[in-house]
Amino acid sequence: MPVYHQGYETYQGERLPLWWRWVPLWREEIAPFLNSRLFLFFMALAILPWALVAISQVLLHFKVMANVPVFDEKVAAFLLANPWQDFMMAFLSIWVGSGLVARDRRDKTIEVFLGRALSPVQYLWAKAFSLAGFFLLFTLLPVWLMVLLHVGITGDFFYFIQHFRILWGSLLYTVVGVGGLVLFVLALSSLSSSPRLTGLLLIGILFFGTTAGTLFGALGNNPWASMFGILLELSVLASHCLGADEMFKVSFSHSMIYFAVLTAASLGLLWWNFSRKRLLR
Amino acid sequence: MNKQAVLSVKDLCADYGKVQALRGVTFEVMGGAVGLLGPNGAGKSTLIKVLLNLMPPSSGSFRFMGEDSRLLGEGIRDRIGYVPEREGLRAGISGIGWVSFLGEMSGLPRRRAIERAHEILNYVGLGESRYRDTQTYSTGMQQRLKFAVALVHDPDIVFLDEPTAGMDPAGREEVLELCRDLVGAGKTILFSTHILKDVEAICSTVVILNRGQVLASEPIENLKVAEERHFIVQWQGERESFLAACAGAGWKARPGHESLVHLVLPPDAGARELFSMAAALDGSIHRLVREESSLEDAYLSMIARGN
Repeated sequence: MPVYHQGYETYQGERLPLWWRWVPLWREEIAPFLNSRLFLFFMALAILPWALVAISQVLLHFKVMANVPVFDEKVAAFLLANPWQDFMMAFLSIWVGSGLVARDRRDKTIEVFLGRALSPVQYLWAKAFSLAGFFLLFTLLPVWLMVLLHVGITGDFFYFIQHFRILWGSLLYTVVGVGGLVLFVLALSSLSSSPRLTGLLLIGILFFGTTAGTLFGALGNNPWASMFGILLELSVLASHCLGADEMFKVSFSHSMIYFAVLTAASLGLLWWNFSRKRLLR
Repeated sequence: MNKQAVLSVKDLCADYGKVQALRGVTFEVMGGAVGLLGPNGAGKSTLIKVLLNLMPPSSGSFRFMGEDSRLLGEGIRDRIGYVPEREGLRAGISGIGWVSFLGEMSGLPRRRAIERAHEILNYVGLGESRYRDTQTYSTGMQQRLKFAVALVHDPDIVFLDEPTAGMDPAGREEVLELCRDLVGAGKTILFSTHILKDVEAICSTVVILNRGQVLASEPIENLKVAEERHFIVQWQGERESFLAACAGAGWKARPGHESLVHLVLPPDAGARELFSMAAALDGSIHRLVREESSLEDAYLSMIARGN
């Protein structure tokens, strides 16, 4: 048996700094998705409405099309808060999010990862960023690209000042809403060692919660019923952040409180479930 | 000049809520292979997790190569290799992919991590299987893969948590050979196991833990000497009276084949006391043979006393 026939060799090369150590984990996390054609097709579908609006803006500028609204806060709010967007966010949460921590728990690789020079916070950041990165591709990033596109083709730099709310509103929506959703999915994934169970839980919460919220809201004419559905609340938040207040009856403060509570609960759950003693016991 | 300890643990305590897993653990590792022994629940795995900074101690501290662990933080794990007891493999990844990925997580640049992974997989004898899915590896191969993962970043000390558990004799011997080779290469090994023969085969020193406390931390040879001594006595005379006299002296004696008696003398008694006692009896000792005491004898007796 030719074991250790070459002898042990020491490593004399460079080492990357500690703060960089989450990057390989993040890369490893997203690689299987980027190698999946089905996933890439799904991402293309998620980006499709944004691409269509971008094309229509170009056609509008060159007067090829008429009756197309200029990309403003209302258009941005519509693109961020519509059933297509909700469906894509839910689907992505389930597809990517259900296995984030659960898979490592199932394969018992958490101990291996945290046995390297990686802090639990870095580990969670790598996991969260792998989901958030995909979300950004059809939330914040296309909004800002649309703004740049508009300024680029019109040369109207006053657009930045006139529609500054698009920039900060979409940023606020992303940080508070999308960030809250990512933390929620991460916390749920850390509860179980079965990605399938986590996926089922997410299906229940994201799809049926939204349906229940819409139904109760319509039946009881109660705006607070939206709190059943995270996706519904995301839409509410998007509309408020971008100033399209008439889209929903629920107030801005309600949305902010909702996501503050969701974020705090998710962080608490992560801390409880991910505290080093408990995780590796 | 005193040689600096590779690992120096002082009054280390750790708990899981109300359960105290480590209670004032103190020992030093000067280098080479050190066995970490103890029954189930003794605190061996907890000690390794605390030493890896995966679990914070409730009190106490340890120094690694003279540096305080509290100052080293996460960076300490760049200098430690860890072979966990549990599987810890991801499905659908090749051996080379897994080792290079974990090399990157230990700070090696991507290209160097791949080169190093090739080197280390050759070293542990998985060179020919490096492109195979790790799920198709046998238990022995998975164990060697864990060694490769632990060594890819070239650590100073390697913690092995039950590395030979569940392996066949040939695979076990390969792992032990690997450990010997590593010690020869100047690495320090902390070898936690239940299998005392493995410890005797590669370690020069042992740390025995029981109920979260250190019962002994010294060279194996010292332990064997300090423990009870086992003799075979051929008694010419009435055996019953000899057995009774031994029992009267507080020594453990049991009859063996024909005129033989198996005798266990405590550390404070020796051949002189035995012959003095024999002189007072109606008979004589024809043959006195000392049985070699094993680490197992020392370990079991120590655990029994500890309990």
